[in-house]
Amino acid sequence: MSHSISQNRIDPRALELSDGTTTQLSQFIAFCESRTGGRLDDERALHEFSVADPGRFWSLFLEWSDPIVAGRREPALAGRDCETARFFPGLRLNYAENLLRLGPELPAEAPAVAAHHPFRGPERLTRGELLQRTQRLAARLRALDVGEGDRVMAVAGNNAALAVAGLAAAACGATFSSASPDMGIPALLSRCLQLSPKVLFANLVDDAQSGPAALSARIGDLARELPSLAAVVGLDEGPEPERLRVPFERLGEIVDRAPEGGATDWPRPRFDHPLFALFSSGTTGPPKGILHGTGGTLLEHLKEHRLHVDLRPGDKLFFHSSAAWMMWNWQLSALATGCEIVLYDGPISGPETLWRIVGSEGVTVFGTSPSYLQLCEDSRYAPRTDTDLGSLRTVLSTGAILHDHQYDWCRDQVGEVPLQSISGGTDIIGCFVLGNPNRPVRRGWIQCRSLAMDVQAVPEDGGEPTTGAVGELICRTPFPSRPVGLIGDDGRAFHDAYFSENPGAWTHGDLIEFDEDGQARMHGRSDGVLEIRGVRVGPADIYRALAAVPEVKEALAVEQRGADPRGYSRSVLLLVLHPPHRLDGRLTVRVRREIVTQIAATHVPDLIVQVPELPVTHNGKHSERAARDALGGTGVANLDALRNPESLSKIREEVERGRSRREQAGDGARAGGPSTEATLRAIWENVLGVAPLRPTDNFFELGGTSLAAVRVFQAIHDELGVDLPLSTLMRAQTTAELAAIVDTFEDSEIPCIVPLRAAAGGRPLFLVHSLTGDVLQMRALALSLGGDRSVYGIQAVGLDPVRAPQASVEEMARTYVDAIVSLQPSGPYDLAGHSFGGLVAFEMARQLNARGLTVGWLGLIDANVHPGCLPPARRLAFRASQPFRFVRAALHAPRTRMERYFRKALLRVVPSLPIAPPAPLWPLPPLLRRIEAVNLDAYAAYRPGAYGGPATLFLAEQREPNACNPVPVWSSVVDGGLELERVPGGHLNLVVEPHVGVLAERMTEKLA
Amino acid sequence: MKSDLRLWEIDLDQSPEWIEAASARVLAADERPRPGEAEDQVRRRRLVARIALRIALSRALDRAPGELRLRRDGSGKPWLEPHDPRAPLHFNLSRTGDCCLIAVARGGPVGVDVEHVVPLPEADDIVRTRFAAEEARAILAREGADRVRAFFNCWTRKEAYLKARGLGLMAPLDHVVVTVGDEPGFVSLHDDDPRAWRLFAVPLGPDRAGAVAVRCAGSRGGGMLRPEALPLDRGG
Repeated sequence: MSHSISQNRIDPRALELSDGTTTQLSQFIAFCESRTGGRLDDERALHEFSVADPGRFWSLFLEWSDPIVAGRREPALAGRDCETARFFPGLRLNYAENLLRLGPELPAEAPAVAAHHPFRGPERLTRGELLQRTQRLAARLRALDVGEGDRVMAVAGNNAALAVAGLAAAACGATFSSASPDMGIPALLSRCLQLSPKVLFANLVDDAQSGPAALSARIGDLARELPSLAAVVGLDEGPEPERLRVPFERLGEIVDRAPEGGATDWPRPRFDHPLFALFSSGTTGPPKGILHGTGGTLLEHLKEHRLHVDLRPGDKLFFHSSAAWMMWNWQLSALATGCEIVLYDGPISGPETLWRIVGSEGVTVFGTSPSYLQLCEDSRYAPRTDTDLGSLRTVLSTGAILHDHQYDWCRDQVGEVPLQSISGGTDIIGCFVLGNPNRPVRRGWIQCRSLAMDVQAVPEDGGEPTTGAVGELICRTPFPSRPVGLIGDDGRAFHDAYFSENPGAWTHGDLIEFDEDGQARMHGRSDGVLEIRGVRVGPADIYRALAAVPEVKEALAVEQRGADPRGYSRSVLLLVLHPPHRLDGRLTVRVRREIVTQIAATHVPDLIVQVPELPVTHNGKHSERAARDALGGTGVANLDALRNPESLSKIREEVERGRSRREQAGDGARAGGPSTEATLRAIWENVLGVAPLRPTDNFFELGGTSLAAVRVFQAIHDELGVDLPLSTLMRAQTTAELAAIVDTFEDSEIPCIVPLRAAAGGRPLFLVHSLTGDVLQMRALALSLGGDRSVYGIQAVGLDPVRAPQASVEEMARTYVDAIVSLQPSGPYDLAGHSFGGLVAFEMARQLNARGLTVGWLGLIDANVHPGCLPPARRLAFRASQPFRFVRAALHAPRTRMERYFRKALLRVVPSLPIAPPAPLWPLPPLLRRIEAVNLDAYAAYRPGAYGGPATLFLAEQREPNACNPVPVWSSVVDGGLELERVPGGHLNLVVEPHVGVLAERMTEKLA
Repeated sequence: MKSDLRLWEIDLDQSPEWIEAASARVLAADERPRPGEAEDQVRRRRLVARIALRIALSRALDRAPGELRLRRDGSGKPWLEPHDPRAPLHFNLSRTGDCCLIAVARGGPVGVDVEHVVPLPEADDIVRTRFAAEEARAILAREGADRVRAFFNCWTRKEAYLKARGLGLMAPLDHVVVTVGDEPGFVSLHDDDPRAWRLFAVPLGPDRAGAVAVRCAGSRGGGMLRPEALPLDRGG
């Protein structure tokens, strides 16, 4: 379906699509003419008519679009005032019933949802299936006493289950709100506590998009804070949150166990009944809870979808959105047009991610953000050659300003389809300016005003609407998608937010410019709200997050725009610190991390700089506007309003310095991806000498060597203040993956789990470090093992120079058990350890059992024990027969630092015996010596307790001449049966060439 | 002992015609260049190194290069199949720019590293924070070109050992302590007896530094090891 329209100003009735039909906009114009008897030459005439008599327009639109409604259709509009007028006060309708309606044009077998996921095939639902699931879930919700006046919350990805949850809540007449799993607990709580939901829907499977802590645990934390809850419903098969105080159910079970059929005997609430609650971050206070009405939402979306986007049965709409953005609600509503909606629940791992879905699904209308288009352009990605875009007829973009060059890119790399920028907001759950299917798109311009909305640009200092100049965006007509109110507000906050600046008109807080023809360009926010890569960020959220960083005295988040030749804007966080603190790499990382964990990674500002003071007005308030203007280079309008105008030059200077520092590192002024990722990419480009890189480029495929890796990690240390071990590159080989680790990196955390061999299949095997704490000795064994399992080494905590080694085997085992459980949440666990590591593995097995977790296999590789562990009779016999034996004995070859231990042991056992210190076998680096000394004490102190399971002891054939025999000790504590395997080699060299092959073979057999 | 160790040097800038012919002759099907791969200089050099490795191994094993079955483990280190732990042929490869070194040994694991000697902006920081204290002292006591050279002596020696161990990036750099001057040697190792290893410096002129580490029981020391030019026209 491609439009054959290329000229301005054509009689709409002459317009035809290539399949012989006309656009719905043309059809509606003809319909209005027939009903009114007047002539409407084109869409502009229709717009003039619609704003002149909005009541008549909406009445005609209701008749033409024909939703399922009950009650009185008149009056269409009560009152003319934008703030107080009400639409269709006598009308009743159900949102879900309209989205899920069936009919001759909308058969039950028509496709409704295609939900894509990065790791699974798409889930597809027909209209009939979606209806049935909604019916069953709605029946369950009503059994939980959810109805009109109740609220339902969801924390989910944009998947089919979320669509069902939202529809079912609406079906019951409840008010629904959705949030995204990558939001931090404080951000989720600030929304939920306002909403007081009765039911919480949640995804529980942790996907890559989720935040730092396990999703299920975070949902549990959230649910426990909500006194209003009556039930938690899991949307997937992820782990049930622990310690819930309310019943837990799963969507799958509800949908499966309900009887066949189901009914659509849903209530039809009044037109203004709250359907959705959306949250918008302001410059102060907690996020604003905006309530949108049932009728207003449905009618506005029907109008936009059918008249401005021309969606109809047979179309496939893919508007990429998270659940937390209003575009989620917008794309869901498109079901009411009869089209299919395509969803994607996953990260953007590269420029091809969304385009390939467009291609494989045959999407006809694709919606995205300028930042995704910019990512594609920066990556030199060409969708038209990579995938089949033959079905695509329109590309939509919203969320930020779409720059002129992006139109060129789209024309060259996507094709001759219109790129329609659309702009509106959470506050109106729709658009003020958007597309027009009857006209060509002009580069850099939004095509038209939304029908029945008298949108104008007024000068910021007041006055009449203008064309050809940037002004404040206002809307002078009442419109049905005006919110029905704010949560917890008596109307005053609502008035202050939208109607105080320009009496009688909605003031949105955006800057806009119109031309004579009614086409528009957006120019950013007029208030303090930031747009960071397309996401609206309330500085208040950031300031709240910074409360966790006591070094920060004051903060101001501002948007810097205009300076960049390509029209980018960047968000800048200005910090005043308590003396004597300085903003070094480490503190910067902490600031970033607080923002990531408390809000979301998308909220991290592009640039964080320290300044001596913030601009303050005479009444003591920080002036975001002054800082913004100063950074924009446009000059500050009113310097007299500031108490300290001299602060601005210093701010300009510091920001410029911070910017050039990053640009030297090759960052440029890119808008794609979080800043950490961009910084990492710049480091890689610099070290590897390859540019530009994509976030998904693999370090090793780019020719990265060890030296390059060390240089990269040194630069990460210098620029971001994070000390990562080089082995991080084994698990994160792209800047995207590495950025995720840097952003969630704990100070002085050395991950005690090191991947030794990565493989796809099977349960992992964990190999515990030996006396020096270093698992790398186990690498040869890991690589020689047969089978297809991953092998992880566990290394001692004290390998990190700033953390003290753990002093007891029990303490080590506790730490390592925590670590492996977080990696592999449920048993059985396979463990092995060499030498001292065998003791630790044994203790881990005991602790796993004590926690109710099963151990699959336990291997003790020549794990010798302290003679003190021998049963008393044997110990005596041992002493009597071998008075000198254990002196050089023990678990491990003697080393210099063992001397201390041997002396102690000697004093204990044979105090009078003079003995020379054993000669070191080889010198050991200092760090390892430190750990070894501690481990020796731990070894001497550890007394293995009983263990209920079986174990395999691999015993070196060449016994150390003076080592004691550990078999009696192990067989006395291993209650499940000790199996003995003799392997060639000595205590030390059985894990290295040439003996390691045999050991690996035997272990492989036992593990099989 | 030394006759068991061969060190080959290869010039990676070969003509496209040679690469095309040698790829067809020497490489396994899944190693051959993808369309367009040979256009890019970095990839072309990687390809020549891949071909040279097969030629070097085929000489040592006296088998046709195409017959060898090479696999890579999780860290990217290639190994020969069938992997016989009792009589293994050890080998290692390193390259920088147009220069490639391949070491082949029968006695024990071998590692080789070659680097371009250029001043690195991060070098002093790396030395201070990642090298062992005695190495840092020795390197930072030098000035100018001497310091740059000492850094790369130290780096290539550590790296040669770690590569022989199959550790690469996995090991903290201060777990291996080496000399930084002209005379190569191990001071201490984290997981083995330094006396079981031989460490060689590879003379490659002022612009490059190279080192080879090989484990061979009963041997001591090291010294200079001059590479031989690998005959690229044969072995197919």
